[in-house]
Amino acid sequence: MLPLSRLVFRLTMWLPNLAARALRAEVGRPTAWFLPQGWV
Amino acid sequence: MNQHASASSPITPTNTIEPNPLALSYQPRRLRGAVLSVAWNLAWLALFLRAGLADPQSPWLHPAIAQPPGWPLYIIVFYFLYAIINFPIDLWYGYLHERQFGLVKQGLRAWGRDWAIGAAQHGLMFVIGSCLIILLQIHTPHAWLFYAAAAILALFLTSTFFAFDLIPAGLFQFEPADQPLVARLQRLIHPLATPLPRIVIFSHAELRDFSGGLAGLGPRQTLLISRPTIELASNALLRFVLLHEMGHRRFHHLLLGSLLGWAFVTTGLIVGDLFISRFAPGSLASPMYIPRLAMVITCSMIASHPLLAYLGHRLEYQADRFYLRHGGTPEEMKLALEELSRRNLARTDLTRRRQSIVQAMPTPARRLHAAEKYFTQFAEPPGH
Repeated sequence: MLPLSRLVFRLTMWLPNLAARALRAEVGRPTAWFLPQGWV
Repeated sequence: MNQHASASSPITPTNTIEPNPLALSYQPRRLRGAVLSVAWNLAWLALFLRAGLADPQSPWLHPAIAQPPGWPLYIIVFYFLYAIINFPIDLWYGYLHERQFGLVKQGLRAWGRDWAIGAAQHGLMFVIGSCLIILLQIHTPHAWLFYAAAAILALFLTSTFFAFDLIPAGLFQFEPADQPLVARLQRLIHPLATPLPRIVIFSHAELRDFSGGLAGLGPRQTLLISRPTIELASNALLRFVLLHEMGHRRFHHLLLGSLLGWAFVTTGLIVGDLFISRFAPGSLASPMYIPRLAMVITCSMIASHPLLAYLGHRLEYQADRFYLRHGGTPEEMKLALEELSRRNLARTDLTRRRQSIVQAMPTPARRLHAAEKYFTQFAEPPGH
């Protein structure tokens, strides 16, 4: 599942929100935010 | 350990999972990367505003960039600067640091290509959303907030509906699950008879995680599962994650998530407008509004992070309970969580709520504790 906070931050990519990628704790993982993440 | 801390700790001998030393070293660095990245962005943004680069009279700016038809260029350049400023941190934490833990198998060039694809898609969304806001401010100055909220709701629902189709080409290899695999997975979730959604396996050179989940809404909903999960995970783990995902599907968590996200973002827009119309009223209906809104929305997303994480945790617990009601047991769940944590380098030693609140997922120890409590209280004991 894409946990709620990650889903919301991914959706905020539409807006001028500069912390979105960092707040999902996936700094520099270019492929990470497109897909659902792990189960832990 | 003080008295309060020990009172809030749910640790019992049955739900303790052995800590993984590698995860203890890896996870704090990821958290540090996230904090540093947010601070880095806010510092640069403050400098940008202080230097007058969001001021139409600034000598640094060409007059054409602040007016129609040139103003979208301002937003594009602003995003470009953001991407460049973030590159060193992305490289350090996303490539060099991950390589240290053996999580990156590809070379720097391949990582750079993926980085460019990710940054370009983010940039496209950023520019479309920002231009939409400015256009609404120009054409409906009195009701733009209302129309912006409606447009963002439509954007969020559409992009959640088509989430699987919106994954950029060239990053992953996708393969639909074949019939024998679907039949095997469907047998694993017995006695639940609900058919599984469309299943797609994804792979990538650096992918070793057991990861996956639902993407898309309604008829477009797809269950994505990483290739390593299908090839290497035990039946207990697969059963746990499949029934957990079926729980999210049953309770429409993706739709709920996008509606909640919209509520948070709309609140951020309203708060942003209150601030900006008070401190920089002249920037309304101009691209100079965007850096200021970026500052306010970023701060409001940071402030709302604990609440979002809390609500997200409720959804995860609900999905875990769905698993327990459909044949799962805390013992099997413990095996699955141990296997998942070992593979994904997740920390298993965080047991208190305040440690859990920065995590997107509730920690394994807390989930196991909640599962044991639920199972003894409400579920029938196994064998009945």
